[in-house]
Amino acid sequence: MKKLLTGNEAIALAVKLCRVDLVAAYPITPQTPIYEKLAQWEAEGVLGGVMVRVESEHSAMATCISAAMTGLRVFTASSSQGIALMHEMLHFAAGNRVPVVMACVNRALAIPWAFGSDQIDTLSQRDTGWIQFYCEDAQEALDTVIEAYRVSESTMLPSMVVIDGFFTSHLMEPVDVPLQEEVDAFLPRPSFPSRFDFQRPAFLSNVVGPKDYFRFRHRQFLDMKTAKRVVAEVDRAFRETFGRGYGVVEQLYTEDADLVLVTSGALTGTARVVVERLRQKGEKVGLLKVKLFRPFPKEEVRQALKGKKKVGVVDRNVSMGCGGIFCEEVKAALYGVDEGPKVANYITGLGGLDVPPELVEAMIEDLEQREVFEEPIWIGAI
Amino acid sequence: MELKDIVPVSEESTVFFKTGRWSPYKAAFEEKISPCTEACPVGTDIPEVMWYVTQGLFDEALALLLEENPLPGVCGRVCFHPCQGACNRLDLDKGLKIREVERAVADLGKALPQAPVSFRDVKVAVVGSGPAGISAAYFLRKLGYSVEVFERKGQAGGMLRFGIPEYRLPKAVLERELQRLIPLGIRFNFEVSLDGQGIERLLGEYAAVVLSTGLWSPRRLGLKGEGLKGVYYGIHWLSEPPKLDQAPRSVVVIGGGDVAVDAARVSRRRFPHAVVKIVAPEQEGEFPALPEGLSEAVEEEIEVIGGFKPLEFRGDDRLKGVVFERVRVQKEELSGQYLFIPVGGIMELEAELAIICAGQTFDKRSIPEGVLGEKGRPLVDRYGRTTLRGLYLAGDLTASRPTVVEALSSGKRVALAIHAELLGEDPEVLFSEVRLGEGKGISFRGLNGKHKTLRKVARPKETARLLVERVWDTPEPKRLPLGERISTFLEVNLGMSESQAMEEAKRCLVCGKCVKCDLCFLCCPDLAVIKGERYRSDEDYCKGCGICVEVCPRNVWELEG
Amino acid sequence: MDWSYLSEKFPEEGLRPGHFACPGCGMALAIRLVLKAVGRCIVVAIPGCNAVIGNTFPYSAFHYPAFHSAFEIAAPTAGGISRGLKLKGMGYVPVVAFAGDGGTFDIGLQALSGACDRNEDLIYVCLDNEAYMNTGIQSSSSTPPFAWTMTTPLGRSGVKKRIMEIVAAHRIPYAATASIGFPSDLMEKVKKATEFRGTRFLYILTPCPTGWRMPEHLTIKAALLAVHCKVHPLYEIVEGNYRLNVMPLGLPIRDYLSIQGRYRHLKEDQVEVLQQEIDRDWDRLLRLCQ
Repeated sequence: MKKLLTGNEAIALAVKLCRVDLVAAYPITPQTPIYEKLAQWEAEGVLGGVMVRVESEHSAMATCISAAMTGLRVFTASSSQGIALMHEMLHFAAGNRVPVVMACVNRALAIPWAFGSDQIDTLSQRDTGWIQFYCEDAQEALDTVIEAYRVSESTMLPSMVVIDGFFTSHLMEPVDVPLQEEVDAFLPRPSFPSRFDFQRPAFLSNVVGPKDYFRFRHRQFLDMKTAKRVVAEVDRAFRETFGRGYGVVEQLYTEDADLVLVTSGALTGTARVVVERLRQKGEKVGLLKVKLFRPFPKEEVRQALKGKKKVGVVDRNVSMGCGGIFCEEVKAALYGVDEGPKVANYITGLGGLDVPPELVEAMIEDLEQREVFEEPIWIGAI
Repeated sequence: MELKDIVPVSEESTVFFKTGRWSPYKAAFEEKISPCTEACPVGTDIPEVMWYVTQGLFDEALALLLEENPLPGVCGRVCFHPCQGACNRLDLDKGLKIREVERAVADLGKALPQAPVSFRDVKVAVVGSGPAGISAAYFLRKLGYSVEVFERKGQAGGMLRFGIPEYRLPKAVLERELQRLIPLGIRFNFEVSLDGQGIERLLGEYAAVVLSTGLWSPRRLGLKGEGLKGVYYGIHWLSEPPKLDQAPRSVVVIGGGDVAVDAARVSRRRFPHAVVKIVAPEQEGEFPALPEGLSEAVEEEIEVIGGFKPLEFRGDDRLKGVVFERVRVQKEELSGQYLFIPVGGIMELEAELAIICAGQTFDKRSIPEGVLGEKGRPLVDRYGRTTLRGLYLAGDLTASRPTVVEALSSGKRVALAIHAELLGEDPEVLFSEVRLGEGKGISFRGLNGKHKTLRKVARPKETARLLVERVWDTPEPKRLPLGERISTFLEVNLGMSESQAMEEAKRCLVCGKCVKCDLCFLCCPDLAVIKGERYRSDEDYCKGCGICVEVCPRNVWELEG
Repeated sequence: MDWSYLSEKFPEEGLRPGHFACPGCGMALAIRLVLKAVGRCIVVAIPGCNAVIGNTFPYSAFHYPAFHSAFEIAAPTAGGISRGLKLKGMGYVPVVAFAGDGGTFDIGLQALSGACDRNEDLIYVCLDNEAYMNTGIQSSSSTPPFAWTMTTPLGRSGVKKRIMEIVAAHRIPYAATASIGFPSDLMEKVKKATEFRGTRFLYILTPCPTGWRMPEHLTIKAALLAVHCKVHPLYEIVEGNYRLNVMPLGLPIRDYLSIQGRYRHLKEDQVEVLQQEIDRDWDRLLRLCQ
């Protein structure tokens, strides 16, 4: 059934459809409509789960983690400062192997204070061990929440479903909403038991020595590797059930392209339009959308980009002293590839700076002419 | 996917770690002697007595008292209670009123002393039926001997009957105490006087003879006018009160001991309108008499004057007054004797009656030859043996301080010494079993080896005393109203009721004995106290912190290592 | 003066021997007595002496299931567990969160406040040894004035906040102070706490021989003196009403200070100041108890 929904509403609806047991959240722009929508449904008695209105994002994640340990399906959402505040807890959740799903509505991190979309808040958490999905629009956000629960509950690794603040979160679009029965069939009730076992009482997640730490971390690393395969499988199953799928990356006209733009998130939508237009003009350009950021789809990226002449990675984020984070990951994936492309890094869109089609075209033009690829190119407001 | 493979799941118990190995120190359970029992000359197991009383088991309590003391009802009234002065509760609030509880047990409980039914084929003679003689007879009987007591007067009791006034120790009570002893089968021969030769004859007929005739001869001062009419001696005044043709208007009692206090209080009752004064050479507050007796005397309008020694008795043929000089008391280092040094100042008191209470001594004629030493005092060793084989001395004859309980203890001592001699054993073997700590007390329970494991005296730590919560005291037993006291010889101390005694007994900390209160068990951070018949510490886990030692209200834990 | 009824009333042990607490540890005893009185429960431990006592992988000193949470989140962690148990219909089991003074007064204060505000169903036990002991005796905001710590070598300046009042200001159903010097009072209060639902707060002073510079055997003495010198009075706040449980003997604070090496440097005038403050606080408490 199609409904006109904002990205936030779509996420909230997905949470309801997934029959989440417990939501612990704290308000922050631009996530608040998710929180409010769920609270409204709880008040109406239709949510099915319980809302815990905590006093900080750190406590939100803490509550989610321990509730998940009893076998509950849990959810939280945050942005920017809130995600940063719960950083400690993100490591905690991943290391504790609890299947928490969190919606992240990208927003710039202070200082300077800004409210628009910027991927730095979620990308700053890339080392925490969370699976990260970057969604392009409201439909993808809804679908990805459903997939994320299935992925997380089978890998026992938490995942983030990321959308752009305001561009996706607050803009409406038609969204195909699956039926409750369909979602129930795709995503049964959680089957992981409570860890608090009185038959075999144990002190859970207590201090380990270096050897055991190494062992557990290795196991987590391997499980993250497996997670990529699981993501692909779940997405395939989703496609079979609902007729829509996203893969871990999406390639548009990349096979014979000379220039490929690599994007993620909402500006992928803009880039699609530009690439289509240029293709019609006969230009050999292509688009690679990276959806799964963690675990990073190295194979798929190499496959898509090797043999290309030039690649422009568009980053709505920057890692100071380095460059755009997607670009660094792409370059690392391309390391050692024979006939590797030259890679340019376009840093744009920070803090919600608009990236209109003209700007995308300008990036492609620049890429075409570029000879020097050392430094990231800051483009859009300079 | 198994949980234990992806996160730390710690199921193994820490009991694996024998943390006791951290420290060589370990808590050791060790029951101890209570300080009150150590101080008691007859070695009464006071905490156990209190334990019975808290449960209302007065009969059992009395049976326990009788194991060590033939006359608990007497001691419960007149003992100078060294136990109370040693009570661990003194630092907390007030010491336990042990004597009052003992009296209540003797008055309210019903029990008979235990003794073997059959007699050994050995007979022992006891001369004198005061507390020492009765005690000697009692314990010899308990050891199985056949005993014959020879008493000069017509009734048993000695000083108890003839020296302690009715208002302190009613004759009815003394009778009751003595009646309890009848089933033991001790034979009493009254109105039999024996001199030194008579006693030597007894030595031929009996396996041993105990001489416990006491001190009945008053010490004379040798002062001018001491022979005047109206001058009496304390011991006579109490044991054979003379009839007077006229009530004196003023009475002066000379001396600071219990005999002086009793003489004054008897005078007060006989002469309600007289001015009665006690004058002693010691400073007020340092009189040898029991403070409680002195304060009762003061309540009965007896004036107490300290720091004066008599110089002479004035009068024609009747006493008119006594002259005193001011003195201070000095204890001689070497001899331990007290000297009264004049410091200048005269006091003359009006007196129609004077009672000299300067102590008593023995009648030399009643002691066999050879028993007395150079200084004219009886020669006796620590077991009561004299130079004459088979002759033992007990009671005031041997004591440096004549008290009832020490007399009882001394009777017990000679009984044990006689038993050792008749068995042909070194007395020290038996005596080492009956001593308690550093005290002079003798406890017959020790004969079963009961005291062997008791090496120390219980002194609960300050923490234990803090734990005992409220500062708590029970009221003193009621006394007879003053009006009745002065005009009658009725017993002044009315004693405790059953519930009062139980309340007071509850205050007893039961020092030295584990009562399984579980405090140590609950206060051990390492769960290293193992409960059972006898609590002990688990060496595997005891880190030797010493908390149990610190908190135990009975002080039965020690730290070793 | 008989504590034996406690072993009959509370027969289970929740703490196992063989744990690594220092000899004479007040906290280990507090944990033992709390768990003994609660019985079957789920334990939340956080970094600090309490989790160290719980021990490291693969051992546990807890007889019941336990979770090692993070420093500042004892309260919401316990809240999440109790909500989970309830939502899953798994049958009621109390969730006990242990936290030290650091985890309560300092870094955990915000999360504790949030949990109290939501009246999360848990029993929060603050084990106060008055400094960050596990990391080597650094001062916390619960370190009393003038006390020595490694980070306040001249003695701490500042006053000790009234944590009970802060917690009570959230209007939780039950809060109580307790002391290991009064084991029956402590265990009875824990039992009482288990009969309420919502956020219950127990504030236990747990003397630390190591950090307070005291001989090991004086732990209980310090706990007793703390109560009797009115430093840590024993009272409850039941639905907002204050009630005194034990009337202290009113001993001078000098008695309490003199057994602790962390107060060795104290001058006369400082002792005076402390006595006055304690007396003032006590008067205030008495007025609240009326």
